[in-house]
Amino acid sequence: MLAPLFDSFAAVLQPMVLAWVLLGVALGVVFGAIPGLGGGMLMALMLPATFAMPDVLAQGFLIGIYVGGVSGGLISGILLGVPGAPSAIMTTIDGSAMARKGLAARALSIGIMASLVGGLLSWLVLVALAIPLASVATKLQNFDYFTFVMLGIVLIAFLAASNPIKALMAGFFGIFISTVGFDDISASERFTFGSSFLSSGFDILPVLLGAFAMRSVMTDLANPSKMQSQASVTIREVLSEMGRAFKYPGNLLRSSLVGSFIGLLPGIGSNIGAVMSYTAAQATAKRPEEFGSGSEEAIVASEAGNNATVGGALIPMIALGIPGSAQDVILMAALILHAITPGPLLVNEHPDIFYGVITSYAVANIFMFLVMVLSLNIMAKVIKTPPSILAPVVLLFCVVGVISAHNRIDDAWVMFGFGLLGFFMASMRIPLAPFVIGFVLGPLAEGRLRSALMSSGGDILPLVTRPVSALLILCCVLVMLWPFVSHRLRKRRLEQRAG
Amino acid sequence: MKDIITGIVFAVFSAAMLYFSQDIRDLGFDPLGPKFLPRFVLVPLLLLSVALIVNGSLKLKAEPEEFPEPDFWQTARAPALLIVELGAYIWALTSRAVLFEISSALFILVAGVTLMGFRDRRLLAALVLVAILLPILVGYVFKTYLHVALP
Repeated sequence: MLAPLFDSFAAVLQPMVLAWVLLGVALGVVFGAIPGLGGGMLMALMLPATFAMPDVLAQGFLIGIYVGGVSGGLISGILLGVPGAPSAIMTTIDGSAMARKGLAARALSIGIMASLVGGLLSWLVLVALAIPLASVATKLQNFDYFTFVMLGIVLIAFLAASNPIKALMAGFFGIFISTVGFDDISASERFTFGSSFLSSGFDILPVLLGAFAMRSVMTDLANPSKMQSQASVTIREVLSEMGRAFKYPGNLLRSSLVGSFIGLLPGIGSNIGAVMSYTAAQATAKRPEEFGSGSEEAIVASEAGNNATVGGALIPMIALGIPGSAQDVILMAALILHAITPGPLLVNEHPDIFYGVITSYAVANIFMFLVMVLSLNIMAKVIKTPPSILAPVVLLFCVVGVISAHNRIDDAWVMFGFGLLGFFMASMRIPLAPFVIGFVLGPLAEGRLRSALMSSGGDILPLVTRPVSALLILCCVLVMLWPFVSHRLRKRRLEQRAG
Repeated sequence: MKDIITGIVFAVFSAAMLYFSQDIRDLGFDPLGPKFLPRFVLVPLLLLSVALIVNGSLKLKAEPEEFPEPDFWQTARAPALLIVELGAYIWALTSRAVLFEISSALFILVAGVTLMGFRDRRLLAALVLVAILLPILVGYVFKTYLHVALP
């Protein structure tokens, strides 16, 4: 295995290939940082252009866009409170909170380094376990998926440190909002009140941009003093803080593994990778109450998690020919355009392509790190723009981004509505993280459970008889019991100390 | 007071949605049905809202607080105006009454002036420049290259 891998490094480390990977990463970072665009859109736009390129260049260019697109969202998320891509949602919560405390450089350093580490660890997983892991992922059934997603939802309980009632309410409300619209399984409409506008439900981007970006602009205008404290960001400052991410080695490793695993599962995506890594990190953090208000650990988890999903998602695509995300579909299409069929035979028939994809991914991660650090100077100038100019410009980009995501102009109203809701939630001190987690994971859990029950003829027993789902249910129960157990343990420890 | 308001808003909302959940047609395609999840989350949402109202009332009794906060109207002015301006901008876009470039330029100008006033001439000049150039650039890129259906 190592000989073809080294050969692929020799092939990818050619100046021309490197230049195309670098161009892909740079464009991906820019598109990833602009709400509504994202790497997926750019990959789709660039696909026809790759037809004329040699296959190694085409793959390198598209993988560069993929990696850059997932990572780019963190810059605008931290500096402007606007998640450029849905994968940056959790980073935005804690990153923008750190920026408001004048710790923007530190938040960026941690985010960029965690992205690099997450990407490279996921690359190691890709190199070592591509083939065995891909076959494991295909054996998982809907019951297993459901329990896995439930574990993420149950972890919302850990987000409830400061105000458990409001956090749980936000989580339930997020799940409820995700149910509005046309139900694909039963072909019935839920809470649409006869409106065709509501039939399509609420797409993730307008909801997130409203709840984050619009809310962020409004709360900043209500408290201008907080806006001024975002401070300047210099490359030197960011580089000097780079080591901070390594203060959390366990978190980096766990989040990268969680992200890689989530990436493996078809149709899940990098935003879920970030959410699951975030909740897992909070469940094991020493100070979980800091999550949501500017926690370094939260940024590490979110960024390592979302970047690792890219490597994870490449595994079933190249090893089995099963795309895990929309971006993987485009990568597959690029291969097919070059008369190469991804799948189990790829490693034998085209080892240069199989290992070329793997190597390009590693190179793209390193370029992503460099591009992100070097682009900070430009971003630093953006945040120095006076709020009276920046606020309308940010809102304009949000509106255009929301419309361009699905070419649906009415989505701007959805963003507006959720912006008002986000502002209300901020004013009433309702945490946003549980809302987002509920909104993102709720439909996934429901869809998987209903599909599972349909295939089992309504029999719920496989939920406890299948080893994977039984194990995950046990984890859910333990997670739910943990706050009570830890409370009792703490109480006993205090009593022992007092006695 | 904030807890009581939050509790009332969510209690009314969840009770209303629970009522409307009866209208969801269940054609029996799957064992769980489309009503299950909304009801599964609305019931605890209603109960938690009631708990929040009770909690908030007890807290208010113990420590009375001034509501709204003394500087509320002063701090709410800028965001409230921007919300109205953004609403008007989105209306102009969705109704397709005005070209994207014109409505966007007007939005940036009006929102900017609302936030900064007319005192700083240099800043005002920068705002006018941004308001003219940015919508043209964004409109050109999004309409021509990204094929976005902007008015």
